[in-house]
Amino acid sequence: MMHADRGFQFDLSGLLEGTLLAEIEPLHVTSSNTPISGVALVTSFDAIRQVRPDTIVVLSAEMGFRGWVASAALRQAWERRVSAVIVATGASSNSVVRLAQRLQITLLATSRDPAGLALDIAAALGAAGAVTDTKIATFARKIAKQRTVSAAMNLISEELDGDHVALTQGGFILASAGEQIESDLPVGVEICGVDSSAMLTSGASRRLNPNLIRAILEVAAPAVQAALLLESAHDDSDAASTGIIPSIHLAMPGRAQKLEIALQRTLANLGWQSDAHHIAVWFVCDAPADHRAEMTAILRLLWRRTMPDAALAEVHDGWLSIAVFGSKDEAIALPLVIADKMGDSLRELGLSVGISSLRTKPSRLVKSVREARLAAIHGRWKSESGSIELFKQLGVDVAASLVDGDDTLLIAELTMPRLLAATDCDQVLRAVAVFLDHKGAVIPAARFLGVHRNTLQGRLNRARELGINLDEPASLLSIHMVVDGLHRRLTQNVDTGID
Amino acid sequence: MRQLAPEDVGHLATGATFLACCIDRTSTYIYEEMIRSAMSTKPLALASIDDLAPDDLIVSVGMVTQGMFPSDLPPVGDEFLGCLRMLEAKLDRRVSAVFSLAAANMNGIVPLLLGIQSGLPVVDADPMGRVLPLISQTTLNLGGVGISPIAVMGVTGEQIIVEANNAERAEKLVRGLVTELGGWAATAMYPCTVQQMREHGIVGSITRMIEIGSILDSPDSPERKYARLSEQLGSTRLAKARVTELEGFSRPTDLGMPAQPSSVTLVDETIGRVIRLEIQNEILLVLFDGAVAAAVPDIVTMLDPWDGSVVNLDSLRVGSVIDLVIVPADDRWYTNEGLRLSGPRAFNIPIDHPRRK
Repeated sequence: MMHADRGFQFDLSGLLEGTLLAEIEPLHVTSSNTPISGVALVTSFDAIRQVRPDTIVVLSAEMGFRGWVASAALRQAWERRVSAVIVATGASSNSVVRLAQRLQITLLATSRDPAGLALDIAAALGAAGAVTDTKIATFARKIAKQRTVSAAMNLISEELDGDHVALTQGGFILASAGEQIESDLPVGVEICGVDSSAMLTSGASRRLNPNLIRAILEVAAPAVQAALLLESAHDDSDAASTGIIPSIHLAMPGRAQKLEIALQRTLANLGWQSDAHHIAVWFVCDAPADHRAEMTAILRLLWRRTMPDAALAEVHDGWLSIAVFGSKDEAIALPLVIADKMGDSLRELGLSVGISSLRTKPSRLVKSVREARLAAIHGRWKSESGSIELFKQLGVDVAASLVDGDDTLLIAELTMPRLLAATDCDQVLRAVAVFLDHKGAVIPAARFLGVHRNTLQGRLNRARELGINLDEPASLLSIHMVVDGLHRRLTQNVDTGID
Repeated sequence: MRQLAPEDVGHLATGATFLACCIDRTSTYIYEEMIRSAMSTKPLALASIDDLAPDDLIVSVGMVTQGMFPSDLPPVGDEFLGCLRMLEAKLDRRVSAVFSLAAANMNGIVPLLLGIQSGLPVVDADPMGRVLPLISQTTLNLGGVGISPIAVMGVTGEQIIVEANNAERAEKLVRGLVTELGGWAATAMYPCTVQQMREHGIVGSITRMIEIGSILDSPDSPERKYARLSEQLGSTRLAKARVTELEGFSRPTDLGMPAQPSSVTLVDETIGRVIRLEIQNEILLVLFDGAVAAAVPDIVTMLDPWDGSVVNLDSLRVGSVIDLVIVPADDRWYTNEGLRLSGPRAFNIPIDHPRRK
């Protein structure tokens, strides 16, 4: 009566292959996989209009045996998307069969008493439901024993006859199993976490009843959630020793001379290997992240595919990992590996990566971490999502990225109000920025701007009129930093907040 | 009051057939020939409702059949005259004119013969505006006009007067008598005044049949005929379809129900819809792919797409191609009371008419 290998679904083939077969003559069968969720013995057309989809409609003797009754019933049943219509054998003329073919609805005939047949079908459905409940209970016991997400996903897929199942979070697939197929009606259940939620979905192939798929996913959801939390806890545990590195120097202020020795001892206690090649990698978000826990989960998934053995720690303003390598060549390839395996995702997520220099002594870990952080901040400052910055290629230029954009704007508002209020503010700012970029040389600056030197001179004089003192060497560095930051903001169309 | 010409009778017979889609046209043809022959010596007058005095007594005449056609059991010829005399004797009053029990099918034409026999004019009105299978299904009944007394006379010459409290009871009594009288009987019923007919009857229905016949008998192309019918009657061509299956003609029916229930299945020639016609003397129900497309009291009829002539049910064969045409009945039939009397449920078809509110 039921196909266990099809996911316990009770369908038309189950009905036709069962003991009822001898009492039912198939006149037209559209699909043997048509699901059956109930049976209705109808005595009027109004009753057909109220049956639920996927029901078998049995026309009662009270409906009569005239041919048009079967035709009209087929039409009503078709509109209600029922699974099949069973009519009395005498009511099934060729024209009724032809209509069933045209409407693509299953038509069966019986010489039995319709009421008795409906009762037997109902009993068969009830028995099938009981078996389904038993199977789901068995599945619940199995899934509860799974300790990893991948094992849980494999078991779910197996239970769904090999169909594709996926665990997604924020649009990213955290884990999946089974054969991927196109599906118009994916079935999904939500897995609520502490800070975010994930979705457990299946492709809902036509082989399986969507209600059954949903039932299995709902049973599996707590186990998947538990495995997810367990893996997250393991990740946190693995990353604990990494996560405290940025804080070590803060915990030991004013002890620079003893720092080397202290670090060595502390890191040894934390389990860091000695004499291994290591590189620190720091990720920062280009914009404040609202869902850090969700981002951490996704980033860990991506990082695990890139550096399977390096834990990723969520730190104050980003994420940190210490990648340890057996050889120098392997370590040098890290930026390329990150670009290859994570480049697209980093851009989509709005993340920048900073990479430290290669070092061997654990005592240098803190320095590596600082380099990686500075490089990451520089990448964010460049406003290029997905940028991968190597500290050793940046050098002192990193300093510019440390100037806070909002602070720059505040200083400008307080010290250069007339300039900001001027209608030619953009033109004057650009002239001053380029003039200072060219170390105060008017002719190359004018050439860069494509204007006559007298024109540039006039714009610099205009800046002086608006309160920009370009003649005091001690102030020039500060003016340069403020004007450069302000100019960058204006050219990037960033809202400066200036009225 | 105008004198009818023989060609009017021919058109009337055609119009009567169009509005009924009868099973057997032979009876209508026989009556048409008899009337045309008699008209060579005796006049036949068609009286409009305004040609008569409001208090004049008029009665309906019509054939009630129960499984037998007059063509199979020919009448002697005095049956309707006998019915008329019985009613006059019963009512003790002279009848001024006669009208058709139904302005379609054979009953659309038989009053003309009685008009010639009796010298009475035929009223240009009827109580159905089409033909309905039951004698209780009339607008006079809807309007509260009594059906009794009813004069019944069979081919055996036996005469019966039926007095019933209501038309539904009269239906059962008359049909029982008709079966006993051989399968058909001439009747005269619904004695009423001209004023009652003006208020509760369908006026102008004889003229309408003649006009329909003049369209269908014309040498126009079928498309031109359909256009003229549409303009005249508001008719619609539902489909051109090919007959694929014929069922029944012998299923039993309840007493009080017309005989000869049957079904015709067709397939739409253009888009393949499965069309089913349910018939009990007339076409009562049309299903397109199982959905109701038309139902009694809609007038459903069939035309030959090659020449626009009326196709009768008896001539249908598997493979015949027909145009299915629907004509709306009188508005009174689409009121709730009208549908209760003549809608699908009145024929034990448990569905509502599409126009039911």
